[in-house]
Amino acid sequence: MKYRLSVSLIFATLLLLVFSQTSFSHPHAFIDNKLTMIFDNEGFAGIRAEWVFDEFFSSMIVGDYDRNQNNILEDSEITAIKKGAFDNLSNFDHFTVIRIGGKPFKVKYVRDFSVALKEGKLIYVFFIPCHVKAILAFKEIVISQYDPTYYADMSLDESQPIIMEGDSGFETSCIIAENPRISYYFGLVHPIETIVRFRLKDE
Amino acid sequence: MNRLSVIILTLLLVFACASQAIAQNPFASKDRQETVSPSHVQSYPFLAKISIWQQRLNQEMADLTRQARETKSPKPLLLLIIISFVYGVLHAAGPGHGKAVAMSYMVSRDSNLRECVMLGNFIALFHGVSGIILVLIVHFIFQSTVMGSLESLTRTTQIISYGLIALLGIILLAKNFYSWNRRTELEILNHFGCAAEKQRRTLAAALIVGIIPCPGVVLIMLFAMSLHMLWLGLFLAFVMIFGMAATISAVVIAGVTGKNMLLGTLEQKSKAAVVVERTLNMAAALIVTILGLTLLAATV
Repeated sequence: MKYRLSVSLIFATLLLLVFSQTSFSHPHAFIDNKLTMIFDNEGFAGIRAEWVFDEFFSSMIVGDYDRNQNNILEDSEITAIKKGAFDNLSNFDHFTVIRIGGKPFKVKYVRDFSVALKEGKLIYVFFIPCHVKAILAFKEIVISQYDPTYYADMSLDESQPIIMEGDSGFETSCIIAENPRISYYFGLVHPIETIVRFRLKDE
Repeated sequence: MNRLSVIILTLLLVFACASQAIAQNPFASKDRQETVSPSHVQSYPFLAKISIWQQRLNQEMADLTRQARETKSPKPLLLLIIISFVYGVLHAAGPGHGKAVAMSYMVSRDSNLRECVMLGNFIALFHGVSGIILVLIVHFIFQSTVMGSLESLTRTTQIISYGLIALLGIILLAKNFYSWNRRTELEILNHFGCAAEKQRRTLAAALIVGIIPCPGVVLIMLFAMSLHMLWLGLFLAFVMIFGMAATISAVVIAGVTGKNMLLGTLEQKSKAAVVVERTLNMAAALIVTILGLTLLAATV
């Protein structure tokens, strides 16, 4: 009897494992992500994202859009990439989830988009405006970038994931942590969040 | 106890496949079908690990392909072949690739290991070859954008595939239901026909499941072609297909072995054994139907 129960339990676990991830074959693209937290005179100004795509996915985009096949992306080709393989991400908040002081901040638009091709890898750079004025008390912004559909797997760059820029006038701290309370893609993946705290320096 | 096991199993399965959804290419497709589900308790580090490995292998393959082209020595090529195989194994271990449908299909009928391997291999073959054909046609005949074509062709084949999977499930359900009512042992053994016919059906099922082009194969081909190494791309695509075949076959075999083990614990030809087997067959056929319908509903 015990044997029977254990066999059926093993069987059930195996089935659950297979079925729980039954969906579509993802991810297809891998993005190495570098985030720069940019401050201006008043406080937090926004985030500059740099996405470095893997070479396979890059070769698809480049094959599609580098029409003259010179491995250099000219202005017209960049415009075409923006239209064909970037602008649509606005439907996905550009894969960016932000909370300011615990409240969600929807990314409505981004600017300063540019594309480069470096050693076979496609690089997207763009700026996400998110202005938060600094005061004497600490303010907290939580930023994570991930593709909820998991078509693209995004991971923070290992050597230099987060860069702080123009923050000399403020007291700042920055922590990177996985948030187990949020998950996406059928509860299979947790986002990695960057928690930035900042305030005016006492003077 | 037997009934309890069967009920638990059935409930688990139905529950597990109730949460189907679809995600298309967010870089090009307008549909936004999924949202983040907050405070979910489950965690599957397995998927995260597969992704990391895939990413590393992917980079490794890119480097080796370039090396192979520049040095023209066999060493990077050999490594490339091994890595492509592993990449295929891992790629198919991730979500999708019809593993669940294939496994349920095989569990729902009386199948032996040879048929499991055959089904797994042919799903991988059709899945990969569909990707290869897509790349070749788009590149050489239409000369249009691959990303857009992949998107639309995937969608069309998905609708066909899922519709047929649902139909297959319904046929299996009807057959199982019919044989259950006939109640003769001989009927149960024979109701799926002779060996040649079973083979044909296995092939048809593999075609239905595998017709959707494999994006992994598409990307490998495109990368090789970007380095003007079409033949290497084709070769690596087939190595990758072998890798995927290994994983899909293993999953199908595991499912059928699990079923046989469960039945093995019961006394042969006892009433309980017959009830459990029939219930399992029915449940698996039901799951094929549900999978087909939910995937279809998410795509259309």
